[in-house]
Amino acid sequence: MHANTGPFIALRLIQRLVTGNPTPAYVQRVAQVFNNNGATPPVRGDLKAVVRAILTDTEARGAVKSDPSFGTLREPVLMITGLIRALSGVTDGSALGDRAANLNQRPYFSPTVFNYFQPDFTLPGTSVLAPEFTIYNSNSAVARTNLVYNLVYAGIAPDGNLDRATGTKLNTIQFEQYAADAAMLTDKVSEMLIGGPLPAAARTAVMTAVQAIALSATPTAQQKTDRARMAVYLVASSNHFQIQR
Amino acid sequence: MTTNRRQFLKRTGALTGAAMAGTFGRLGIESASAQTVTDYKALVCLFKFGGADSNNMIVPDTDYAQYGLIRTAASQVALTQAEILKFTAARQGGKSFGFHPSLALLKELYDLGKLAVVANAGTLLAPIDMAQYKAGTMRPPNLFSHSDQQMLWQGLLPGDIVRSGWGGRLADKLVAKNAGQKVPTMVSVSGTQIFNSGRNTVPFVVPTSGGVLLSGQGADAISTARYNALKTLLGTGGGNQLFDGASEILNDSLTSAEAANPYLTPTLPQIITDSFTINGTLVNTGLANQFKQIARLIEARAALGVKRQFFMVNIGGWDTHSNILTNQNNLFGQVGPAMRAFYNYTVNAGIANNVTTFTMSDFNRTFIGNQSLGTDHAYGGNYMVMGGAVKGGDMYGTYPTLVLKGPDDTGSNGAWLPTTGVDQIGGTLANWFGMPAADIDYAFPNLANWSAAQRNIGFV
Repeated sequence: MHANTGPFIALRLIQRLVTGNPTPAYVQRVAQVFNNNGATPPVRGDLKAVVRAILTDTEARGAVKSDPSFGTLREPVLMITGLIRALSGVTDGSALGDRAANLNQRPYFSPTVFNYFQPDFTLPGTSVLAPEFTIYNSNSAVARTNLVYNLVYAGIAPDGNLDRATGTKLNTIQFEQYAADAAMLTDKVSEMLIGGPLPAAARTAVMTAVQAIALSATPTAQQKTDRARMAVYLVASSNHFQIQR
Repeated sequence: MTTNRRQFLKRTGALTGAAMAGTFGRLGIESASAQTVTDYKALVCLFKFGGADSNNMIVPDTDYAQYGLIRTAASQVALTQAEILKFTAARQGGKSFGFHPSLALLKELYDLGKLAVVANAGTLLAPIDMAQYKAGTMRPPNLFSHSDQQMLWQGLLPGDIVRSGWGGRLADKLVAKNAGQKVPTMVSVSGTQIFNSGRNTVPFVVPTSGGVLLSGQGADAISTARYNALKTLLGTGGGNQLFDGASEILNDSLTSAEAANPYLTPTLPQIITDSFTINGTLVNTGLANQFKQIARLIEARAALGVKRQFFMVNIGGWDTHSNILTNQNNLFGQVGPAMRAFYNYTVNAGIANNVTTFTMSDFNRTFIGNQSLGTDHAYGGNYMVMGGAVKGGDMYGTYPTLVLKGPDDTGSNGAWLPTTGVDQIGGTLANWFGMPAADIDYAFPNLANWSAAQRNIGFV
């Protein structure tokens, strides 16, 4: 029974679930729940209570989220699965491991016993903790953007060597009804991906690119698809989605 | 004064997808004090991840009996006296030693004076003797731990909350010399390692083959609009540091990629094909391919506007807790040809004197073998430095006394207390690189703990 265990676990779980940079007070509140879950009789090490404490803490919600150091880069496996879910995608799961491997996170194949990330990795030149940046570099940053592009614009074809393979397909069709209104389209996409509107400059940038795709007097199916995909690609590849806040 | 991120990203947000050659946020700022250099120099770090057993890389020949007393034939971790590739070392009193049998191609360079061995080197905060080590005085933290020692070899700043590596810190200071450069000073084929990350600069990371390519790029109006929007979005973080940190990495990457990709096509320039063909076969291991990427970029140095460059490559698999003999035959069998082919390239390109390659690893391994025919985590070990400017054909530092619980053993299994520190190796290389003393202090804060004479050990 070591006094360090609570804070150690609290920090690691907060980093995985909420933000890389919890305040010491946040860590302590969670560590206290680890030490004593408040039940009768009290239990030490109740992880269900710990996770509840992490997610319902005031620091996981509300005003503190605007702190400049709040947030966490979505790790590849969760980014991929989250994107597929958010876009009503379907997948047989094959090839996703390879895609995540391109982003330096092959599932179950962490390079060492120390898992994929260093818990105390910092943003270059700062003391801002950002464990997920351990595997985010100039090569994997481009690979991540490319993966979003490929999932949105192409999907993954079924593997001919696999029985009953169906590949991976994201859906953008649910946004096509808004294609004629770039503002509405952008807002619907951002609502689905980040739970609300983009900040003004970002919103304008997406709208401008969407509007670069001309619409006939009666928009064709292809035009609507292209506009929907443009909006989805730009929002999903942007750090508004990639950095979870 | 460096431009801060916000200013930089506002600038990039205002630009279209047109090439932004040289306009990085972290570069080109110190032009007022720029010193011009006319020549080219490159340092290449080869990191052997896992803790390479270098007791079997450099084996005593004159003193083989000492080695053979513990690493016996029966131990199955021993090299025989007959198979080691023998050389003499004037600085070790003229004693003879031998390379691992798979390193013939590097032994040739030793004989030509182009490769030096640095004996019993490791992580130190200051030169300490055994009494100080045992008392815990100035002992580096978390010895024998892979992650901590890898970080210490690369960073040399234990406990520093701002993680940076000495390669990156040297790159911080090289910005001025590389005025107008189109790719960052530090290029890694090893992913982002601490070594590559400076306080103000980040590395350009390239894959093992090919370039850094963004999908959906094109000359048509829609592709252009998409690319422009992507870049604009990078600047809309509203001050969130995670957002801006990610944006900066991607934006720097896209800008570097625009410059470097033409030189990173899968087609090999003939000079590289020729250099990497040894005994009629093109060397094609993962490590060799990393070196080929470096060679491609060195070939393009004029076009990329770099005069001083750092590169990093790596080979893993050295954590030989078991079956060390088989594993090391394989590993050294990759290191020898890859390093030699790269050296051959520098000769063919007329820049052998301008490129120095050096090896690093987490630690050496225990002198005594274990039950699995391997060896375990230890401390001071032997490393190599290769290049035309190297004062090779000799062994620098002091080869340890290979006696369990002997004068160099920090414990009882043969984990040698280093007599040369990583700071000294780095300081020597930085000197060759032409870094002024103030920049060397910036990159190696602990080097001040060594006497002036010890800060450059003279192997290059």
